Amino acid sequence: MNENIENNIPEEEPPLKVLTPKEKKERDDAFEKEFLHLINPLYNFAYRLTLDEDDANDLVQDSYLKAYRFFDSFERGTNAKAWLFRILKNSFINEYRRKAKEPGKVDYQDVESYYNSDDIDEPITSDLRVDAMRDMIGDEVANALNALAVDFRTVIILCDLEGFTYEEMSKILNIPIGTVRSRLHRARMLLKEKLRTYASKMGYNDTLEGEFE
Amino acid sequence: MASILPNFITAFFNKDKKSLVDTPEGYRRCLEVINLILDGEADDEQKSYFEQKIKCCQKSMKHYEVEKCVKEVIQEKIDKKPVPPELLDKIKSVINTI
Repeated sequence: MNENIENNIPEEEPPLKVLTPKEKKERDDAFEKEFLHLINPLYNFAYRLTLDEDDANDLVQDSYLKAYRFFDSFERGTNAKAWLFRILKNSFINEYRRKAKEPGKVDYQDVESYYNSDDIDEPITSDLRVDAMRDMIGDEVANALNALAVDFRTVIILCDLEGFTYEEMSKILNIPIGTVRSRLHRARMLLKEKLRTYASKMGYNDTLEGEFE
Repeated sequence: MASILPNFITAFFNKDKKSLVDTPEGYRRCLEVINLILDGEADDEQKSYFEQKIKCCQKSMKHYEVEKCVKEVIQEKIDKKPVPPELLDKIKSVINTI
């Protein structure tokens, strides 16, 4: 499943070959068989990135069109899901994220530089109670996830919701595996902080016995 | 002792000893290994560290339970957004026209 995700996604769109109707039908059938069954996880990923149904719709459609144009560079039988997710992530970065960036919004690079700095004296955070988390409703968990900066949110979605391996995530996100690990670690720390706030509102104030603050 | 006694007995005998997670470095290492275990990404050395150290440390095991629960809660409580019914047809029809 890990092989060749980057699979030659060229920088520029290749010109489409002129095909006979029979060739076109064969190509379309192969494309549908390989990719269209992935629309559910792809749409979910798009929605969790954009947090907007219309934007998710557009993003999925654009990604499928791009995948169709680049289909000849995809090696059949390899990791179609990761390939498609990588295209969607690139489209999101290139188009939607730029469009959606609000003035004054925290820049992720700043956040990541801060969290990846060796100088940071990482606090040993008090942890959540398991029963508090089990009592949370889906909206609270989703809100906590949605409140994370998009790059932190992305690694949690890819790892915990979609079950990608670190190696696949590294290729989808075009970052080294070490960065996948550290980003995931930071993302989970931040998510736990958000969940802890909800837990506290629910009246679960106890932390792990003997924990540091 | 750690290898033959159940965890709770080991934890009782170790209760006055310093916990694995009582230092920032120990805490960081512990969480790192726990996450690798839960994500199915740990190598043999990390699995062995988990079996020999983390499982015998009460506080580390509590961290393991919390991390495991966070992962499960994300998987179980976040709804899948249903795909709009017309989207698939729209994609097919656009592809057809290319």
